[in-house]
Amino acid sequence: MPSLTPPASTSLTNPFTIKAAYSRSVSRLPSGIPVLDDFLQGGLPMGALTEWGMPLGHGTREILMPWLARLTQQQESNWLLWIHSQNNLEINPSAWAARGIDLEHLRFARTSAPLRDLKPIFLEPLFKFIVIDSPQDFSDEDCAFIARQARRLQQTTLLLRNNLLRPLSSTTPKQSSHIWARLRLNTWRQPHLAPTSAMAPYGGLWVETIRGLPHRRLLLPLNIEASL
Amino acid sequence: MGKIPEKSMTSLAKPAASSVPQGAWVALILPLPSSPSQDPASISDYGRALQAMSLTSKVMQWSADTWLLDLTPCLSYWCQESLPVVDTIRKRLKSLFGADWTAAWTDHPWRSVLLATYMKERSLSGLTVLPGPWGVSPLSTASKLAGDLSWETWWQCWEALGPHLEATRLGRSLLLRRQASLMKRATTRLGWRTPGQQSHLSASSLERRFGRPLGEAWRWTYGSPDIQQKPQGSEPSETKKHTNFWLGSSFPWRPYELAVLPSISRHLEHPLREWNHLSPWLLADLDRLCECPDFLPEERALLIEWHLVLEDVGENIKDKQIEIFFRYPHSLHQEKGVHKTTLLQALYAFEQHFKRDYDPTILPPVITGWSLTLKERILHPKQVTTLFGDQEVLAGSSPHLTRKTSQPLALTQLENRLAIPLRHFTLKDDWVAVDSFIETPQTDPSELQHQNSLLALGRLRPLFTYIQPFPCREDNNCYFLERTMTKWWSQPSRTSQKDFYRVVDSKSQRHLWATRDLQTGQWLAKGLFG
Repeated sequence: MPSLTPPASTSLTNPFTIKAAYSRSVSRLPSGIPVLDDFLQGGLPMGALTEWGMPLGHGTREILMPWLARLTQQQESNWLLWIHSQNNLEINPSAWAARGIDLEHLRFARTSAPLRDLKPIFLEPLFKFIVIDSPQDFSDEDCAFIARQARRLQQTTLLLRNNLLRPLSSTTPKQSSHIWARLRLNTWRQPHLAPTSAMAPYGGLWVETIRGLPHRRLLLPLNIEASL
Repeated sequence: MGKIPEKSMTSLAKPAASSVPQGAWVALILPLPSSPSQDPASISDYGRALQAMSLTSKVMQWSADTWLLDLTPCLSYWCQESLPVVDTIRKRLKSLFGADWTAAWTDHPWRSVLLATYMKERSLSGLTVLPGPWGVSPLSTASKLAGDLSWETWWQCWEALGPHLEATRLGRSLLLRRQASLMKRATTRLGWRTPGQQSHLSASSLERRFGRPLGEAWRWTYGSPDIQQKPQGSEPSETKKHTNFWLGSSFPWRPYELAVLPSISRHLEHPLREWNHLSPWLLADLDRLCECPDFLPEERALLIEWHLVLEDVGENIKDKQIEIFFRYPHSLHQEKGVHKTTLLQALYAFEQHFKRDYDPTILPPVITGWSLTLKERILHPKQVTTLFGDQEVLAGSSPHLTRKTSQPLALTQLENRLAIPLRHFTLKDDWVAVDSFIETPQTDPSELQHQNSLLALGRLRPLFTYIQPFPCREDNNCYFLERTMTKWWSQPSRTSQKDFYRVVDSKSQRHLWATRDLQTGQWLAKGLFG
């Protein structure tokens, strides 16, 4: 099992703090990048569904690589699964390995309908970390099922959206996974500002919390050669 | 446009051949019966086929003394032993056939036959493993052996190939003999002492002069294996991959078929159409299949043929065949009473079949009965019986396999229950992104070598590559990443260098991994940064 960050002690006398305390009491999966883990109050929630808006093709998936590297390098054999749906794209394994990921414990699957084709995966506790990358065919019921199974089997499941998520409000149309994802985040790229900037030439990645943590933003400088 | 920084170019050294063959074909030469004291049951063709089928479900009798084994579908099963897979196979062959046998393991059946014949001629016994196409690297053992191969050996193997070509209608005996005679005369006239001396000759040129069969045989000997030449069009189904799809139609593969296969049939009292209604009956029948006397609990199934009898609205009776396919050898007996894995695979095949063959707006035909036949399985060596029906128990043939750390049994069982395969990549030594890995769950990763120096190349490369690269436009947002060499010895091109850039598409703002042709200046998007 990955190392856990102990939950912060919180007084439960005030009903308004119960929700926050519940959120913090969830075991967290740290990325190993202190600034990011602090921002996420320990990391990603374990045994829960996290929804992450990150448009494909902007280098935003780089932010997930530390989690994958950390999990595959641990002595306990954590099995990881990355499900993607782009028919015109192929995995480039050497790039994943170069980011510190041990390919021995990582499996990939290509399908636009993960639950239709891979349902037994979500019924067994073998895979501890599952990334569902931009699924095309994913209903409300699918979200509910994935969130329930993640809780039951203590799987950390990430649902990556190919667009930025919007906060839930009365004016915006309801998005299916709003109520099922414990944590909702957005990530987008900050283009480089000037050739002399510290962020040139790769710029940085913005991380924004939408749900599950107080709303705020973090800018991570992106250095591809150092993975983050 | 970004400037090219002073960076060292990627090494020009040719890659060392991988130590693990991509295909898994074993040609096995067994001694012909010579003395009457030998046990007739174990030396009969049927007995030997049964013995060979305890290694793989796909066996072909090449000649009176030579057997071809396609280990590909069962390699994952043998990988689960604690030993390296080659040692496991060697140990099993020794257990099955004693000490007097010669076997060759290469990536193509024809090359396995050639190599086994070559070894036999030199009175060398045991299993020899040779990776990759012959002649790739001038220093490789494979290349040396290919150079030593005599015309006599080559023509001897050709003689054995003839009947198979004829049986599969790929050649006619008279024409084959005439073409071979023409080529033999030509080799004598031109002074070609060994086939290896002419390994640079293209198969197509031989095909033009001496016909397609000889051209194909030449391609199998020295060309790239057909297994790697993916056919155009849609990706074939996994079942087809397991039935030698990659070999194409040119290699005359003729599987040895057992006379009796475990089989049961059912006649339904009421016709059924819905999966929920027919699955309980199927479950009961799978239990009945397990009770068949010639299906032992230690055996593993690979393919069950589900033969449906259908009746349409016009009361016309039709037959339909559905294949229940297992990605890894599966034990039906271990799931007796439940058959979760088999029922899931049956459901996938059933849904796919009815979705493909019938219009959803029209009521599909009803099912009035079926039969289940265990078409492919790994036999247990106990099947090998003596003349008097005594069962031989082979030393070191425990059916209970030890766990292998890289692919636990739980994952193998889980993969057998999925509608699509899980993909597993293993890196190999190659600086070209698309050639730097192999995708197979069946390779023993400990036998692949990968250097950390090549791993560093991946740091600047994207997480995804495009299956079909497309032209793109260079914009102001363009950063140089690396300069690599092309494989000039295998892919002749005008330039031997390639520059890779990170190009930001001005419209979509997507970050592309693009290369620029140094002569035409054209840009080609080859990958996408995640």
